[in-house]
Amino acid sequence: MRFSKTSTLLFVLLLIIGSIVTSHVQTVRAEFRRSDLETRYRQRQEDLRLYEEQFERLTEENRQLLQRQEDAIADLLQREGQEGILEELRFTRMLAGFTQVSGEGVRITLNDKPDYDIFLDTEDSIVHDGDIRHVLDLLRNAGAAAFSVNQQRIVNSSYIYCIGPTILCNQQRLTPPYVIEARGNPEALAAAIHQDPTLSIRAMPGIDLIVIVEQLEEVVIPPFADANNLEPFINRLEVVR
Amino acid sequence: MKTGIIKTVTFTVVCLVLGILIALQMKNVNADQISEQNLEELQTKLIEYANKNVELQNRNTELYQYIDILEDDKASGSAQVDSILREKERAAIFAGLREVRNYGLEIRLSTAENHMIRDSVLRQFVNELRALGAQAVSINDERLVATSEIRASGSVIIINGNGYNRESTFVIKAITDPQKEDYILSYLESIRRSVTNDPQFQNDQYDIRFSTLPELTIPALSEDSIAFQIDLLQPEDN
Repeated sequence: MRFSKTSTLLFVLLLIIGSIVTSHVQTVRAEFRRSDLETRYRQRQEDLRLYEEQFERLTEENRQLLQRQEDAIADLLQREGQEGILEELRFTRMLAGFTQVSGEGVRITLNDKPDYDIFLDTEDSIVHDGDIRHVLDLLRNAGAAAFSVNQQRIVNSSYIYCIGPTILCNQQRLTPPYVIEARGNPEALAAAIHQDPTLSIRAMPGIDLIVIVEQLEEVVIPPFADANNLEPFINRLEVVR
Repeated sequence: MKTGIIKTVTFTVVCLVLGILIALQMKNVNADQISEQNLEELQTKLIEYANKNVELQNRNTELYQYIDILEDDKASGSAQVDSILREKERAAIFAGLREVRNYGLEIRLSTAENHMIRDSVLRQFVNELRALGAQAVSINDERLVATSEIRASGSVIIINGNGYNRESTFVIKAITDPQKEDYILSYLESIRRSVTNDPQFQNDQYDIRFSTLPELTIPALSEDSIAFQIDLLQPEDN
């Protein structure tokens, strides 16, 4: 029994069509699943946008309420002839980090190497929680009076820590670039960063960690956002009278 | 002749179908990739925001209530002043301006004779204690605040502007949660091992001991301490 060239060619073509149809049917099924995933993803994205907007609104409301509280306290104490307490309260809140601080200082920006490649670059090319702690330690030792990381005020209860790929500060998730601002003598603070051997090595060509130091005439360090929710930070502290 | 036409038509149809199918397949291959993992990450972010919003909402509600009390003309002035004084006291405790006591743990660090304690080792333990939820920390009875320096300078380590001999024993105290004792001790043990096994510290022969105490006292930091840098915190127009 012999097959003509035409029959053989037709057989091969139909075989290809058959296999493509089978694969296509599978793909279409997967496509249904993917389309469902895509719909859910878009929906979640929309939900997230709404939550972010709500967060912005609530944060602004909180800021206004804190201002209103301060004004109400001032009015009340003046009314009651207790201006002394008002001064003490303001002073204590300032030492606790509950007031905005502004003036001369520095801004340090830490960021991962541009186009970081997990297969080609070392871990030294990305910013770790320890790097932020290290910069804060350098700034402390150089006389910084107040500092913030990505607008989070560093206070007594603050710590910088990573859980997996996420760096947390004051329970807030931080994302790069990490912008550390400090109030203090700009020359002394900048020198502490420039002269640090660890950061110098990390910024060298090849590792290329981004370390930008700016001396500024004015930095604005925000107040601690949880100032009206202190219980979790002091509930174990019994005052010795 | 007729067979030839049939053959040509058949091939044309088969090739056309093949072409369409290949085009469809290519389209699917190029479709963008949204994975379950992306969706999970997005959901985690959503939950985080939802929690933050609830927390902020609660805080704002509490603030409204507090402001109402402050602005209530009918309320007794002394009750309102008392609530402000309580608020001031809480801020003072948080700021480290009060001597405090409770259950806590003590870390004693020393080195071999003629070797000096390194500031970086002290900072490492302090940072870890803060991350472990310590509410008050001191080194050699120097209360640590957010701006406290821990800096080696020659034979001393400077803390809050005061120098401590690096060849002596350093004692870190922290008020921590007793319910987390096992976790905290095992975590600190891993830090102790990493310090004692670190080749650059081998010659120092660190001796690091932990003990938990049912009650320990951590002194206050004076409000005129150099650590607070008050002149830099004041509004500039003052």
